[in-house]
Amino acid sequence: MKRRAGVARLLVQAVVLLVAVAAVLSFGGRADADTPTSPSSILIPPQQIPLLFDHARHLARGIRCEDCHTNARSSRVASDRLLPSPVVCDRCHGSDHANLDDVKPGPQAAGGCARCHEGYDARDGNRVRRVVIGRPLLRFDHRAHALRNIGCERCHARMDRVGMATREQLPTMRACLGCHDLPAESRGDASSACATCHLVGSRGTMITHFPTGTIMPPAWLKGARHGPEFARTHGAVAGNDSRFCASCHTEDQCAACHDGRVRPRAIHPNDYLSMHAVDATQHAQRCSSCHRAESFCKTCHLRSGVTQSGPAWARQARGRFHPPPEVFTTGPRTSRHHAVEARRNLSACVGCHLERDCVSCHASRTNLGAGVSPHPAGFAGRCGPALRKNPRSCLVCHEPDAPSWTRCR
Amino acid sequence: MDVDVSASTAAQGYSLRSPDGAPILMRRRFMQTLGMNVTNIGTEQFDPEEPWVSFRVRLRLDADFGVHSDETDWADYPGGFVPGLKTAPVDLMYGYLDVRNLADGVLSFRIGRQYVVDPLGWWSFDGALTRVELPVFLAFETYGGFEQRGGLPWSTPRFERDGVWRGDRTGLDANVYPEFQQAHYAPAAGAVVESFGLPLVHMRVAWRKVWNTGPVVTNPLPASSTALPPSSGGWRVSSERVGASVDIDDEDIGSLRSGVVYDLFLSRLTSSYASADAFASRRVTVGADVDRVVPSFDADSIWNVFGADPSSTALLRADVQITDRLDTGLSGGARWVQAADDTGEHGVDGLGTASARYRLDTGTVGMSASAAAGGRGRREGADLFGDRAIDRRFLLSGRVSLYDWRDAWRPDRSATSFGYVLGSGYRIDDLTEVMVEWEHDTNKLVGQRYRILALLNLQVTR
Repeated sequence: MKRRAGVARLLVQAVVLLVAVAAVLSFGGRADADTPTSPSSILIPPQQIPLLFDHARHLARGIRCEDCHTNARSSRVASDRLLPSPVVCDRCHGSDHANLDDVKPGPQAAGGCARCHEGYDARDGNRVRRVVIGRPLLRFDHRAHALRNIGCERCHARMDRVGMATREQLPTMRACLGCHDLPAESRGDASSACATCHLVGSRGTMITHFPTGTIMPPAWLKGARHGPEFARTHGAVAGNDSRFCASCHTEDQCAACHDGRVRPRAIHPNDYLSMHAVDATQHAQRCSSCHRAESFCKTCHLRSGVTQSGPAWARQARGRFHPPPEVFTTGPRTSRHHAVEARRNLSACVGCHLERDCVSCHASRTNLGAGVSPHPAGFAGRCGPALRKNPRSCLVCHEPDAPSWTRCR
Repeated sequence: MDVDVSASTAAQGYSLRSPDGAPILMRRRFMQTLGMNVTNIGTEQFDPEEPWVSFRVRLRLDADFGVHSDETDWADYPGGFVPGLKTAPVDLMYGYLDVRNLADGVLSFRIGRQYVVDPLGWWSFDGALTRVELPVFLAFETYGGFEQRGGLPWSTPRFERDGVWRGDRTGLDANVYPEFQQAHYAPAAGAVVESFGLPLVHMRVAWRKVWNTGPVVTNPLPASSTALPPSSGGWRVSSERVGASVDIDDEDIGSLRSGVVYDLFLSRLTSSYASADAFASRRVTVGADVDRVVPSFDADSIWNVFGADPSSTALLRADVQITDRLDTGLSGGARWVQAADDTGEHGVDGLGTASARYRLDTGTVGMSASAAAGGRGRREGADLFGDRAIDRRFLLSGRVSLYDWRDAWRPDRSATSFGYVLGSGYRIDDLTEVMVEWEHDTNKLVGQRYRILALLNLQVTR
């Protein structure tokens, strides 16, 4: 009863803290408005283009892209302003934007201010709303593409069906990789390396944090979407193609967890110091991606008196970690016998036991042991090659002139 | 040329009580790293197709001022001595010259202490690595040097194979902890063949061999307290393994990953995995992971010759991006041991995780839950967490956590634990910030456990 009340009290505390933390932290959040086919809203920020324009109509009249976007074919950087100057419009529409403080409309309806400027009101002092196009956070060289005879429509597809062009008509990363992923003979010098398009910091890695947000790989890019499960699954991605990871990450970030000296709470939550034994007895092998049992685990276990050997003062109050000897050591082989446990989870033994703990029984009698063989079935038939490469583990338990030694050789 | 100098400092204070109540270890940890990057040497900026030279180095001090002098001083306090324990070890995490894209992008090399990430795992060595990229979708890497080993100057034991208790025995009598082996330089060599630029497929095959050198004690049970423990020496294999991995990615369908590691010393397949992802929709990825592991150790280790059964894990998972800000993940499966003997009593463990993360404009809120249950015990619980930057300067973070675990072998070590973490900090720029966290865990095993963590990250750029 008392225990149930304690759990209930903990749950109430948890809920209260959750509500408090969520209230503080979620203040000011808002939903994102990205769509599947749009370029990243982080790299190409939302625009404000209060203009009325119909690309389809202009193209239908035989007007070519470069007739209006005069700088496009020579542009070398993504931040170049490629929107046509209003003076370009004047050539056909009869208006006069030469002096923006004294713009004159054209003589016909097609040259009227309201024809192009959305929300134009002549009574409002001849003012028009400002066009705001944020600087793309990318590298792009229009000229290099034009020199390879890559037409505008290759990246800005089906403009003959588009009225007002916005960021929606810019290519997505996947569209870019459609060409850049091709072999060098087809794509030219610009490989599919991230740094071909993305901004790179002084350390040679991609800049991923921007005031507009943080970019991360999509699922289709090497299956590397950094979702909640990625902490568990990223090892296969990194092991096969670590250079891909190194496009964004430095070794410091790997070391923070894999050689970490500060417990990552996302991996080891709550009072993990008390809880870790349950994980280790289930499957210690998993711990080895970050911890080396012989150094990380053993040193602390020796100090805290968990081990069979170690400093005497640390072992003064030592209890028994394992089941009673009649179950764990001397009894019949059940699932709680140490032989079964060692076969099941040998890495866990290494975290506490010194060689002498095992050797005192498993060494041959001539080597001061009890002669209980720890070898698996069929070991004698395959131990020879290992013995020739490194005899040390054999020497621990066997005399070099023992018959078993000769058999292995 | 760009230069940046960065430092990170983490100070932690907490106590650690033995499962038997005593001793209580006071941890007063102070970890500091100091790094320097000199990049774009001779160039304006990084270009993936042009030669690029950089130099990177990072040092680390990992001190625990809670370590008593009688734990590290064998001469004066032999009864309390803990081999390998140091109060304030310093190591060189990495320090290398990186030269890329020489000879029209064909040749790259690194010289110095460096990390290697490949199908054989995460590893570190001192030496040189050369990479040659052929114009036929293939790259070759070769490297040689010395494995980073604990007990040697400026080194940690993190990267050597497990199974050998090794370190610096300077000043220690030969009969004291004879199984604590003196570290010696470990020559290492490796080669990698990797595909690159191929559509759909990426492959990597890696071979690595490390040798042990110097004398090694061969019997930890000396015949008498005055007799010297027997030893042998010479070059011998420490590890020799081949790993291969293949990823197949289709942008519309999904991906398939697989890999194996074969231990040439043990003549045994020690690790294998396969993982499949299917893009059910733009926002939903479902997958399955299977892996199989056999414990393997340094060739000096006696545990290599003990019987060990493979353990396998199979998981199904789903990753659902409900909105562009809300990610959720779910996985569940089982782990079992393929018993080689007739007991057949190795059991099956059930595993599961669930997580969600919501990205705010200036932070994150989320939850993470996990459960594992089997014959050795079970544990399940959940964390709720969040962090927020106010005005991009002031940082707030919080976490509440409730876990329950049952230790089947030691029921008295079972507990329900509630914990919370509160943190706040101040950010000067993207890489310069100070943060303080307070953690409080409460359960019947420890009563109240408090932990203070102070973090300071600094970076200066020129």
